[in-house]
Amino acid sequence: MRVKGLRVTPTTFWGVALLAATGFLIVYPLAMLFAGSFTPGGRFSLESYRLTYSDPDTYTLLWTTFWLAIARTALAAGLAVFFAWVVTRTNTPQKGLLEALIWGAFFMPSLPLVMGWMTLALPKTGLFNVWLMQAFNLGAPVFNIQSYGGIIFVSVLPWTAVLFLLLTPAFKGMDASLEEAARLAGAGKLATLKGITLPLLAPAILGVTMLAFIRMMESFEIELLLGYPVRIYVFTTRVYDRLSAIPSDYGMAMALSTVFLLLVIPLMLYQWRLLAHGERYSTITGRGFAVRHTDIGRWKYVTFGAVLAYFAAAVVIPVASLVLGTFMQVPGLFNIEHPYTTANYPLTFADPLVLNSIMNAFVLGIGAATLGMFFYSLISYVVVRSSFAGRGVLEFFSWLPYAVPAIILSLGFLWAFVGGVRLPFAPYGSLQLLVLVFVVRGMPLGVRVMNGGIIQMGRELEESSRMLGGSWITTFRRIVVPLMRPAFLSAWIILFAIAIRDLASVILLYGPRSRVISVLMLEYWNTWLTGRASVLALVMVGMTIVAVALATAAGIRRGVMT
Amino acid sequence: MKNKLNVTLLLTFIVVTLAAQVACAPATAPPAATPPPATGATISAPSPGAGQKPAASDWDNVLAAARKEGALTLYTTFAPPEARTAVTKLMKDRYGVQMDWIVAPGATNAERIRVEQKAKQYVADVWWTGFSVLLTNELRAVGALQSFTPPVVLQEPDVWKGKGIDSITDKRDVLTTTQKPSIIPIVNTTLLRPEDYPRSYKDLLEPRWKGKVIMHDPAVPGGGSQAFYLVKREYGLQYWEKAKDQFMVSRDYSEVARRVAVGETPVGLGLSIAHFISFLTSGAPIRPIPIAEGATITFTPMHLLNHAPHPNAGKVFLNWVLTKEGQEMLSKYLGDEPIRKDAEWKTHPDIEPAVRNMPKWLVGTYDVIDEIDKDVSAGTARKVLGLK
Repeated sequence: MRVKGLRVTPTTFWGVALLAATGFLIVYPLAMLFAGSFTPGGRFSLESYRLTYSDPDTYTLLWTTFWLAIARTALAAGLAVFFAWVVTRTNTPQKGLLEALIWGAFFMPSLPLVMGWMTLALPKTGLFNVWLMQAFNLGAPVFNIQSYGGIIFVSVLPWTAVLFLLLTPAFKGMDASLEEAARLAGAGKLATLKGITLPLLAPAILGVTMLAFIRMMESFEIELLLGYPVRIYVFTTRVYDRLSAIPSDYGMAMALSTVFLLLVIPLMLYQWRLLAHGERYSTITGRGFAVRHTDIGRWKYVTFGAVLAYFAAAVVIPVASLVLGTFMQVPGLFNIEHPYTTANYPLTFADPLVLNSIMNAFVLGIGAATLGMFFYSLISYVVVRSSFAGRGVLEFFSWLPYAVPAIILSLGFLWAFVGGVRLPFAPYGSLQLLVLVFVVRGMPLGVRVMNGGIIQMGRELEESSRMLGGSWITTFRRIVVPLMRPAFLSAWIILFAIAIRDLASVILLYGPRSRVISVLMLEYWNTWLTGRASVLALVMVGMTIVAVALATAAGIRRGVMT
Repeated sequence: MKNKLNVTLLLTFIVVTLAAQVACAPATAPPAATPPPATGATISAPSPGAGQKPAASDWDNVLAAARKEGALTLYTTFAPPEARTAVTKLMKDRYGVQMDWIVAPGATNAERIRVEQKAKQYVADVWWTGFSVLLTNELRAVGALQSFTPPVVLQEPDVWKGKGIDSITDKRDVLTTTQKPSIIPIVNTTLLRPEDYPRSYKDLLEPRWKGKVIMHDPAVPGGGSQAFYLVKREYGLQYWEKAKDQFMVSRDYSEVARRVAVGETPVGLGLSIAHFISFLTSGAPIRPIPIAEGATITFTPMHLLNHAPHPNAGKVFLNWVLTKEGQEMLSKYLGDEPIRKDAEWKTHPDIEPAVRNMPKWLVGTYDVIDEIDKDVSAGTARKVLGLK
């Protein structure tokens, strides 16, 4: 390719194009927010930062948030690695079923999860506590979900599933001949796991664990319901304070969010280090690879039981709570004469906006996940495999959305693409604009998942393609994308689920023709129609299951999944 | 080949779907090419001051223009589905106006309006919000609010509660639509006998109430901050210094009401009627009670916006809201008290005695709400109560 006598390589062309696109969609809105945090009231001022960082409470909250995040991430990552190993590398029975059960935990909205566990383990009225106190004549409740332990327990349940989803492609993609070589050399099962399996998977495990750590730092809903009433505070409650101020203090919320930016930088540096030594972790090579399962003897029943126990805690209880809630006058209120009703369903579906909101959410989920994954794959390929000079900047840009809460990112879009440059193809209030928000919001996760997959892939496959005359984009399309399908599919499903249920990203940008089901749920929740809100939450879970079923069917047809 | 075809089909589906959205979007996702005039109409729409009655023909012109506009976008914090469906149908059938409701928290809608006005991308016609001086002042400062007095206000000057017409309009850009008796304490009737109900906020400082009271978070705007202010006016900040660690705090109104209803906590503070009425009507063992320090009455304002894309439809809607029919419909769905004397307030039988026996009421005038908002902005409750 030549531009006015200058030779432009395909790598440079794609690199520059992606840099321009990410710059426009990410850096421009965030720069407006960042500038706004220095100009509260229209004049330059460091007041937001001074107030934030001169307050000793900021550091207390940061410390609580930090150690809670460490504890939760460690537990969730440990469980996720264990479950991923169980369903991909052992002879545990019914592995396909177990994998599907763990996936199920990911699709639980957080509210029914918390409400379900509150129904069981609140100190005075929790059903577990009431039953135990009556059965054993105890003077005090056994469980208290409103505690640090309760917060950690409830948070670990969904995050184990998220990490599991992100890790299983790496576990599945690992060549078993490496483990076999270790076994032939005399290593035991545990030594093989410790010396071969886990080190080979280290980039994937550490990458997703660090992603989880930052998300745990930003965790909010569980702390709000379980921690706030008993004065357990985290950093995000302060961000929420600023956002619920009248008028909202976006400057200070942004000043607080810079902490996350600082957290992202070491994470990024770590990933760069991995990229520099990527070949050490290649397990998908041109030699073909085998997947065999380790015989763990009788322990297979223990591992089977462990997954079922997790499924009961993470899925059965919240689903039961959610379904029961749809048949109650007021979910959780059992101590009335007529607690049950079937009216919530007809009343909810009589609302003329429900069907339209479901359709919009489907289009949004499919559009954002599909467009996003193609975009992320390209970015990842340029970052990991090319010699493009700006790849470090591109990588940095792709991290940036992780540093700001969803509502702040949405505000950035409002300022940039409604108050500033207008996008003719994505006008204010349109679904297209919402698709773009989710493409940006999902970028850190999507690019990381694809990075992990590409690092695992040996270079010789691409080199063969290039030697046979395949262009850069042909190699990407015919070699990289097909090999990356398991990772692609996992991330697609996660992004779809995020897009259909995330409210904060859409609340500032939606219009009458792009109302999605999460907005409708807010309307029901705000007017205390919690039974009907539960019906909508169940619809959301159903939508995600339909999407997963379709994606899985496509995966099976293409040989990506079994 | 098959793979290629499938990818092409998928991409085609996405492109076609998004294109269909583009095709559908412009009617409600402007920019308006030529913004309507700030005063609201291509006809001589009435915008009379107090005492001037609009000519009937002028209002007929507004009705005709509204029908021609055919649409209205309402930005609101409140949208009970039955109210939304009923009001939308009424506006369509009677006035030929298709209503769209954009629901978001008050400060979020205010930010949307601010950016829309600044960027001249006008979408909202009417803003219906909670009572907040700061938000109103903010939008007034950017010229977003339009002065308008609905004809019904002048045609029926004697039906308005409080200070008559002055209760309804500030003669600038605020229209009061309903009033809310708020922050009435609730108790669980199975955990407490009537003789044990707290009679005063002072009672709640006794050691026996420690950990048995939950209140809406006074650190954020809402019922909790109103309760904080009301008691601070009576007893000063010392009361709240003593109350530190005495009460549990939640930011979710529904959670405060739910905990009292299920019997986890005997007393709940900082709630409006709307927050607990669904529990009451479903038969939960809760009861609102009068308390010595009284409760507050706040008001729900609506504003016609400058450069509204459908200014006449906005005027027709605001006028209807203040009719007897509009007042009773809003009251029925929101639980608020009508601002008209001739409109019936249909509420739960347990609420009426608490309201009737409340010893005093703090009327949430602009000055009072301004004070409450300032407390919140300064983080007074957060500091005194040790909330982080």
